[in-house]
Amino acid sequence: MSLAPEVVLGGAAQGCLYGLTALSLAFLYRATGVLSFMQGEAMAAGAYVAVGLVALGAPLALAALGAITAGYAFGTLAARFALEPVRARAPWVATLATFGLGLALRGVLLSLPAATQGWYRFDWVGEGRWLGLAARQWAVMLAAAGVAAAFALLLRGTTWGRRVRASAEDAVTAERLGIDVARLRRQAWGVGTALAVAAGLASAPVTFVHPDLGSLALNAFPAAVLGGMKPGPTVLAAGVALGVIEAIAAWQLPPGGKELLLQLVLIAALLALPRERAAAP
Amino acid sequence: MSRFLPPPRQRGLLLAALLVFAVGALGSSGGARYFAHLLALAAAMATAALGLALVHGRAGQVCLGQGAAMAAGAYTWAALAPQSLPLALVAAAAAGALAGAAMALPARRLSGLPLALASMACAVIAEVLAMRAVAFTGGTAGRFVAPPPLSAFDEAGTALVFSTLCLGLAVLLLYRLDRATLGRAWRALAQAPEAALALGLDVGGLRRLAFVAAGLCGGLGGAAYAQTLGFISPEQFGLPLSFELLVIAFLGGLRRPAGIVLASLAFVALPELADRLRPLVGELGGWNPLVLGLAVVFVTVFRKMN
Repeated sequence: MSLAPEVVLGGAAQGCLYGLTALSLAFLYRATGVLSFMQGEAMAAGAYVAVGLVALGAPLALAALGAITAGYAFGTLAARFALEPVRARAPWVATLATFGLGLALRGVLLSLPAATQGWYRFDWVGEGRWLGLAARQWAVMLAAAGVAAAFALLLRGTTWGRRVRASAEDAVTAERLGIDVARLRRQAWGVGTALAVAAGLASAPVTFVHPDLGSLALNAFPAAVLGGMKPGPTVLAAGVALGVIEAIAAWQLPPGGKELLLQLVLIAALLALPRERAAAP
Repeated sequence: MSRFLPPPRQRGLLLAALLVFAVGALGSSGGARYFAHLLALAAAMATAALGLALVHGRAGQVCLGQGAAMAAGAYTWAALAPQSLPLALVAAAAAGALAGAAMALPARRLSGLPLALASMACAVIAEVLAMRAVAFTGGTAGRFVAPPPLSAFDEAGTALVFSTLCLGLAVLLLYRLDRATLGRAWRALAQAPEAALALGLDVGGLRRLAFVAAGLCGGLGGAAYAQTLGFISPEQFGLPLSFELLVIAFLGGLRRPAGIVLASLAFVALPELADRLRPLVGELGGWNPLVLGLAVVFVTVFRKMN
């Protein structure tokens, strides 16, 4: 049983990634009213952009910045030309559009011979262990905490964040107060996508960069629901808790048990949580 | 006819869909048998998509897990068809309805996004179960579906007859339900949920029934899908399938079956069309998802809505 602390800590590291991705899901849902199904693909594509920039000779920090900027640009462009026009008519159709965009992104990744033929690492930490856990996993936790703190600052401490929250609360009043809600929504798509890219980069030290990197976004949905679809510390905590649950399930249950368990947690949360916590807008 | 055909202002995109099918399917080099196979596949997809149209058009909900109902129907059909065809068909429909009921577990207290997420969770669970219940499903290796002993047709012909039968059953069911008291109650729920509540309708129960009926269509569609492909494996029934069905239902329109059939024809022919365009782009590993993804975005951006 001496494995237990390592399993729990490793699960928490993985859970930080679920939490970050869930944060981007919940943020986009609150800011635009759309459930996005392209976060996973954005994570993978962003990681590839970073790997590509490093291959071109850029230092790691610059490559990460470049990938996050690319994520922001992709998000705003997608919002301008596809997502926002569709969302204005029906939010759930915009969800279909995000699925289409994700599929197209995946198609682009799979079409790059260099992306499918090699295994890459965007590794900004070296080897080493500390308190029984690889340095890489500590780095993931630190990075996730850092990104989440920066995001909270952006949302809580800046005028931009206050405007986004005001528009999410009451778009009509915000419009009357002179806030350009449409522009803000496009920027929100950019920020939400950039956040997913940041999550992808944070995951890079523990996983290889490959086209399926974003499949962990599936486990971000339960975390987002448990956090009430509100972009805040609860979502992050729910992600960590799910990561720990998953790690223990993977250790103790037969194969397939962990996937089942997380989705059952999602259904149980929907059945048991008070209505206003259960992601009802 | 006008009950089945889409309204005039939506016909443009559907004609484009038909064009995709014409270029994609007729241009493919597979011959008449392959053409019949594509038609059968389209009918199977349309059967399952009809259920989604019901859930959204009648109960005002979005179901992200129709793939689970199709999986339930497909595996039940594959297991029971060698024993008795009618029994297998009824069991497949029942298994689909059961999957629909599971998706609608929180329907009494929730609606909208949380309910959609619950149905999505069911789709993931169904895929995992299909992978792990090896004795019944063959696990990740998949399992073959024996062709039914109808000597009058070849394999593709049999599949086409069977798929058309399933589609006909689903259309008939929805048509009957639409005419019944239940259909009127659903219509009230779709158009004015508050008014439906005020009239004393059991809104949660109606939502759940819509999911069950949709699951039934999904089960029938799954049986037809399994029979058409002749081979099923878990990853065919994952989230992408559920989303594709949703796109078909959206493109086809939520009220008229003919629109959905046209949309699924286009959807089935799209990979063929992508293959025909392949010489233009050369060797691209992600060409098919790229074309499909862009087509989905195109449809959502340009489709007119009522």
